[in-house]
Amino acid sequence: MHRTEKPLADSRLGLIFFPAFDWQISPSHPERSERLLYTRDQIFEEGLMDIEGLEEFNPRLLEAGSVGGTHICVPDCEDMVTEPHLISAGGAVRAAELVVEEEVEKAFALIRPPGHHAFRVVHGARGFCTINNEAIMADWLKRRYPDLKLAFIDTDAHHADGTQDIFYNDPDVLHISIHQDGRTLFPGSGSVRELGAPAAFARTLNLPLPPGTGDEGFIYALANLVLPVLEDFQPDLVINAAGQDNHFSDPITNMNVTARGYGRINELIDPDLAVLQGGYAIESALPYVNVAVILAMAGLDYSGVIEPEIESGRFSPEESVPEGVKRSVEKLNESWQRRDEALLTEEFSEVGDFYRREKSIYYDTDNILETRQEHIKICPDCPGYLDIISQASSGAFSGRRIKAVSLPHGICGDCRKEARSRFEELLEQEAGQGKFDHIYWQDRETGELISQNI
Amino acid sequence: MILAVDVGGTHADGVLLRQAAGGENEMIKLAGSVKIAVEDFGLENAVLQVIERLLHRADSAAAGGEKPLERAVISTTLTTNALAQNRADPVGLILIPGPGLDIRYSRFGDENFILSGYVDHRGRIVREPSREEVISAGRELAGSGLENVAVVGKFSVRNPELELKVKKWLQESESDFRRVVTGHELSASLNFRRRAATACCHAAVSRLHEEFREDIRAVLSEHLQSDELYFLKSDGGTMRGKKGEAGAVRSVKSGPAASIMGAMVLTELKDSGFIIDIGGTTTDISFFLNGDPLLEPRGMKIEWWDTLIRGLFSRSVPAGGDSRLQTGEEAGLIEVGPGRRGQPAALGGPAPTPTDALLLLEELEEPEEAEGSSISRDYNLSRAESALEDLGNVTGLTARELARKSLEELTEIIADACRNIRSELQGRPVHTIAELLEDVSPDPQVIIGMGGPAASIIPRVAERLDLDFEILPRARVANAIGAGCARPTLRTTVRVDTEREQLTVPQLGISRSFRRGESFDRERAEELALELTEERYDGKDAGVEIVSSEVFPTVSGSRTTGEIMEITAQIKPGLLYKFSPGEVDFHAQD
Repeated sequence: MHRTEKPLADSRLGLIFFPAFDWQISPSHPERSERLLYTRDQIFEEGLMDIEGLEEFNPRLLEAGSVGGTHICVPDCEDMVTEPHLISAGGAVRAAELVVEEEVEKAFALIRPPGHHAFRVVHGARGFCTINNEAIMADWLKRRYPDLKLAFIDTDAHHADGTQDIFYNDPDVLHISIHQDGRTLFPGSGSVRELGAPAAFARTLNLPLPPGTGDEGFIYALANLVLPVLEDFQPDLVINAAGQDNHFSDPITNMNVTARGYGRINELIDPDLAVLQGGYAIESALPYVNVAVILAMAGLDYSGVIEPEIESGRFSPEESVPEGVKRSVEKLNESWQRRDEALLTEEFSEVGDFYRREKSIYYDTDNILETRQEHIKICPDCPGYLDIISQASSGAFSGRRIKAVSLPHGICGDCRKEARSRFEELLEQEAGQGKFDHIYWQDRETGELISQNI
Repeated sequence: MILAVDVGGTHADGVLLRQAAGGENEMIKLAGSVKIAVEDFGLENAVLQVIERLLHRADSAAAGGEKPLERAVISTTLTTNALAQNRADPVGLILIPGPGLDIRYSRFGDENFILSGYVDHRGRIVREPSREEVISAGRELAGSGLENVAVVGKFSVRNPELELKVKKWLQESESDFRRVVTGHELSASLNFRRRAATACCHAAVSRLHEEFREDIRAVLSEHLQSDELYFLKSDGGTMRGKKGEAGAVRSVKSGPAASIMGAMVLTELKDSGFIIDIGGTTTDISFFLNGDPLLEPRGMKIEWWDTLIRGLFSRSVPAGGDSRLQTGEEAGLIEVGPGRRGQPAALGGPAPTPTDALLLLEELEEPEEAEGSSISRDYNLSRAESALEDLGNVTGLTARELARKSLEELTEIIADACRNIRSELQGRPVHTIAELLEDVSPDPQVIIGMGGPAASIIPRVAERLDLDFEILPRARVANAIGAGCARPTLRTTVRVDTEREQLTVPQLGISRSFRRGESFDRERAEELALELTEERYDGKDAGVEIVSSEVFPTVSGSRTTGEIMEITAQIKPGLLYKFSPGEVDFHAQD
């Protein structure tokens, strides 16, 4: 017999593989117990857990109270958030912890349910997400390392509208989302014109891709937009929000990426952290994509990972990089070049000392419609605090209206004082009038969330 | 009567066990024992010698006419040694991997062939290899003089058809192979690379094992009723030495298993804790959880190779009673092992050992043994003292100080290994919310200690770790008793895919569609697993239980289209008999 070597990872890789087999949204929902079952089988059969340098870890169980540092849940987090959500977010946090404490060099949180469609204010579930696992992870990191610069590269087929929103006003968090064009797919947003709040202009970049885009289109986008931007931005950590629904066999989307393509995407991005988001071709895509991603993160050869559907000729690659993609990449590069100009995009208007923005958000999972008005303090020294008014209605509840004052990471002393007095004024006013059902104070730096029910 | 043999590092021990007179059927006592040094005879002959000497005693004890032995159990390191020392047979490996991880990590054979075709995770055959490829591979392997072949495919435990087809084509071809092993028969677990290594290990030692078995059978033929010859497996259970039962690879590394079964014979394992066996040059540490010995989670490591063979969890530290003592790099530091320079100085060895330290501090409990063995046990205290003094002079310590420090160091090495095991077990990954919330971390309460220096070292280790302890009365012969009392064990895995209407039982090579009118739910699948296990057991006192039971619905669009069930039933390792120590005197007899 030969003493054949076992595969050796070239960087220590932590894997948090938590398929949560005993939880689901409902037995036939895409987010069901079975979702990561075949992925588990493929990972075990390929012997990936035996890779030297790869170690498996359990997620943490976060406390419901810790969610308030990222989200304003209405009426409160404890009611809305259940153990599976806290474990999914806990998986992302554990991955980050392993990397910053240098137990591993890279980590992949293969967890469910996903989180990137959950916004700052949460009235219910949307896009299968209730709380945003990766945003909670990012806030956890920034609380420990306040000067940390993070970059999210979201390669899920759906626009990562939730994560984008939570960091829209943060110049130290770069958020790039590459997705199937919102005009053809939920959630409908993610156009090239969404570039961030003025204080964080061009720290949000969105690249919509036409349906049918495959490996080549993605690689073009990475090589010509993402990698040069990362080179300029110089983040401390790169986070790949790795949704696997761009796969050619995904039932919900219309894209054309292969498992090997996913390996290549991961290899090019070279993330420190990867967090699973969507992806529901649980038999034909997920097992192979995850094997390719794990091998890529371990620095091993993934070129042999070929889906049976490719073998049987039921796949044809895209012809070439669509022209539209090339034009969008150019436009985004132009915006990036002007990132220090703090430009006012068409989303925002200037009202006194504030930037103002209006937004409406639809929660498909729970059938809720929310409208929001945001005011961001204009401040030369910091991103400025947020004043948010949000109203929501649905079949389940007749209507509720909330107000929140939210302090960002890096807030300056003056803004903090001003935000405080604004909040106290609000409490006094509300004592008599009752315009709002709930009022919130959120400090992203300390993780504190105080709510007043009126 | 029962005859059992266990071979440790340097000695072969044999015992005869007899039902306790007038007691319940289950009680058993020692009727005689033998111990010989392996190096005097060579391993195989040592075993045969032990058997012959025991049979001699059995004859004198038997009532005339009837065959006195109802069963014989053998635990040896024969196959382990063959693999370690490169004396096993060369193996040809035929792989049916399909796409995935680079195949170079699985080329364990002396010659390797990759066939086209493969099976997917559902057990669907995506593509079949061609008969021509197989014949051609067979021809080349035979041409190289290879007689033992392993055939292993990915997901063959979901669908063994491709492995079985390739085996059939090979056997029908003109190439003549002594043995063709298929991956699915050795384990129902996933992990293609380990399956390939396991199949190769088995093919490599299968002939050796069979010949050994025949030699033993020949020696026992006059004394043993029917086919009651068993081998101890690495999971602490036994298996009959029957063809097609993959005894060769399952009996590898049965030594630590015998030690644990030996401990179970002498005491009751309650709650959780460590079993520590302090030997001459190594200390073996295993673990029991809620009364059951813990298994290696992914499978045993056999020499170089990671396999799927079930084995008892065991970790070894290279320190023991005869380890060499030397000064460390820092002043005042004493190192214990690794390595041994010879016997303790008290027995004429060249340098001081922990045994000498124990002797000086008047803590040495005299081990039994060895009338008639080649080692004399006259301890010379002054030799021990002066050897320790000499070493002490190098570091400015008196002999007593050095002795104390050495024992502390040995204690710390063992305690540290226990701490590492505890953390290893605590971080065990889980995949369901229930398990994560339950926090199934093992919480050891006690140390069960065995071996020469155990009486003085184990209490120190227990104190350091804040645990209770129990010292088992000595005897290497306890391992042989453990082997003799171990029950036959096996597992059966039933996999049902109601969407594809497929039933697979890898241990039995079954892979078929549902019959007309046949249907399964979880209950029926569990029933079947239990039935098949009982049938295969073919012995008394079955005690079958379900080990794991997993059911997932399959969904297409938004409709449930079926269920995938995987149920494993087992007869778990344990003792067939209770040992009645009252009548035992543990000294070796011949």
